[in-house]
Formats: sequence, structure tokens, C-alpha cells
Amino acid sequence: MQKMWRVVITIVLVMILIGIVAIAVGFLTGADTARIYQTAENNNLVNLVMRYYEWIVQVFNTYKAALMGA
Amino acid sequence: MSAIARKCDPQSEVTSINKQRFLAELGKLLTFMYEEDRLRALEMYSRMFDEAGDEGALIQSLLSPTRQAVVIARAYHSNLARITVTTESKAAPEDRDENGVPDYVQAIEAVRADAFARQPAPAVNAEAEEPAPAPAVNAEAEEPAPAPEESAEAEEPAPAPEESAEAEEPAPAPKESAEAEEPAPAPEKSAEAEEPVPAENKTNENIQFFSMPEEGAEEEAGETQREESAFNIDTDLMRQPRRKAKVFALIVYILFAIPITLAAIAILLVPAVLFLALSVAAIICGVVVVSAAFNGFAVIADIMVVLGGALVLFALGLLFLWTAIWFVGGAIVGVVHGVAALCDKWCYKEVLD
Repeated sequence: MQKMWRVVITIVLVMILIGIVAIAVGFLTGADTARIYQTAENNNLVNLVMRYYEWIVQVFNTYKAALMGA
Repeated sequence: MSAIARKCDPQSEVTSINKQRFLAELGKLLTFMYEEDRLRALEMYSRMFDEAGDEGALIQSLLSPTRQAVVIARAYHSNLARITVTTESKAAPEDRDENGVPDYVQAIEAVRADAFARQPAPAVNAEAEEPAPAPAVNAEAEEPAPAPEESAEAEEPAPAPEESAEAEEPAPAPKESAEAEEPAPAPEKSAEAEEPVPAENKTNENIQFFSMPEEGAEEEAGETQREESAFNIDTDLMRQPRRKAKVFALIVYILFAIPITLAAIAILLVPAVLFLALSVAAIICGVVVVSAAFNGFAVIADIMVVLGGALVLFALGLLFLWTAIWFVGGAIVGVVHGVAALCDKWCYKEVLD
């Protein structure tokens, strides 16, 4: 279990590092936050993410209500 | 060696202690035998010491009590070996040869004959201690019946000091000379004489030797015997511990442990499910972002930023997923194992068979 924790944390850190490097390179090469958000909204990407967020909150509330009722 | 000579000899006390210690340790090692057989074997060894001219040399030739115990154990019939150390008497007769002599008695006689053949005769030793002006002449005069090679060496005119030293050394005397000079009987005769000795005729010295070792001696020889004696190991192995349940404590523990364990599992399931939902959400968001990055975005820089964000989401999803797995497989299973181990510790005890 301890070894698996090390492996998972190593993989996660590497992925986060690569993601941060990609984001930094993107912004350094002319990326624009407003344009990215506008494109995502046009493709219903924001609505999709928001729907998943609401679903997670709903599941959490249901689970919480079940525990409190018991 | 007579009793007066022993008192005058400053090393007699050491010899007596060695003899006592040898017999005491041997007595402890022979606890696998029946009491009467053990006493008989110890009596034979005690007589062997009494008949020996040099008890130190006899102890050296016997090597150790452990070795003698192994010799006796090999000759002792295996189905007669006792497990406990209680003083019981055997019911069935042991295996004997055609003369009615047990195998272990014959083994002790063989050890005795071998030991006496190795050690020098006492009379020769006494003569050898006398001052001798000429070593070669001494060798001829001292040795009552030397071996042919040794006599040839002694008769040769040897000016070298090494050869004269060899001649001065007491050569091992044959059995005939030992019988002629010593009142000790032959091994066969002594074996016959030892058999009918009743317990009432034992001297105080023999009783002291044959009695079980004292507690102090047990503590001294305890460590070495545990390592050396195969018989004690076998006895310990046969006494395996057995777990016995404390019924009342077990019932009370079950009554309390089951609801507490269930509550702990439910409490641990909350963060497990929460982390599982978070991981699922992060992974789904990452998949959606990756798919959108290649469908709606036209600028490479924007695609790089979106893919970087998706990679971070995947990393967080993996971390949350592993945390949820750890809660289920590590924490909850650990709680169950801990409850079981606590039950084993509190509600069971080990007893020896």
C-alpha cells in the first residue's frame, strides 16, 4: 500500500507538471483566456461541465440525507 | 587413586567437581530414560570415574556429557523413551541381548573400554613421575609392556632430546598390565557386577550423583542444554501451545465490536464515496475537455492550454480514485483486521498441551 501511494503520487505530480508546462507554453505562445472561454461556451462545454457539477452535488446531497436519516 | 591421596592432591577437588558436574549434566540429559535406567547408567559412569586413574583424562576421552547422552540414546530403545521427567517406572521389559544385558549398558561398556584404552594406566603414570637420569633406560624400565614400535624407539640409542621426550611420555598400557596392577575388574566382570546392585546399597556419594541436579545447576546448564540436547528440543516441540477461547469475554466483545465496526465502516465509506465521485467527475471533465480541444478550438496556443488543463484534471482524478481505493481497501479492511486482532488478543489465551 505504501509503495502504491508513492507510485500514484509520482504519476500525479508528473502529470500536473506536464499540464502546467503545457498551460505555460500555451499562454506564452499567444493563448487568450477570454477566447478560450468563448469557444467553450459556444461548444456547450461550459454547460456540460456545469451539468456534471450539479450532478455531483445532487449525489452528495442524497448520500448526506440518507446518512442523516439513518 | 585412594581417598588419602585425593585429599593430599590439590587438584583432587577440581577433579571431584568435574566428575560431579559431568554426572549432574549427564543426569539431566538422560531424563528421556526411565528413572531406574537413568540411575543405572549414572552409576556405571560413576564407577568408571572411580576406576579411572586420571579422571581428567577420562573426562577428556568422554568428550562431553552431551556426547555420552547421544551414545546412550542411540542404544536406548526408542519406544521406551519417556516424554516427561516424572519419576515413573517402566512397565514393560526393555530389549535385551541373549545375556540379558540392555543395549544401552553395552554401549556404556563400550565407551568405558574405549576410554580406558585411550588413557594411560595409573601405575605407569606414577612411575613416569619419578626422576629418571637416563631417558632411554627409563623408557625401558618404566613401561611394563610397551608396544613393539615404542620399545624399538626406546631401545635405540637416540641422543636427540625429542626422542627421549617421547620415551618419557607414559605410553598407553595394554589391558593386561592395567588388570595386573589395578584391582579394577575387567569390563565384562564389572558389567555383571553392576547389574544386581540394589538401590539400598548406594553410597551417599552415588546418591548425590544420581539425584536430579539442583536448581542452581539447572540455571547454569540450562542455556547449553537447550542448544545441545536434542531430547529437550523434542520434548518442547511436543508441547505445542493451543489457543483457548474465553467464552464470556468473546460474547461481550462480539456484542460490542459488531456495531462499533459497522459504524466505523459507514463513517469511512463517506470519504471513500466522496473521493470516488470527485475522481469520476475529474476524469469525465478531462475527457470532455480533451474532446472539445480538438473539435472547437482553432488556435494552437488555446489547444495547448486546454490540453494542459485536461492533464491536470486527469491527474486529480487519478489521485482521488486512488484515495477512494485506499479508503475501501486500506482503512476499512484495516479496521476489520484490527478488530479481529483485538479479539484474538483479548478473548483468547494460549495454553500448553
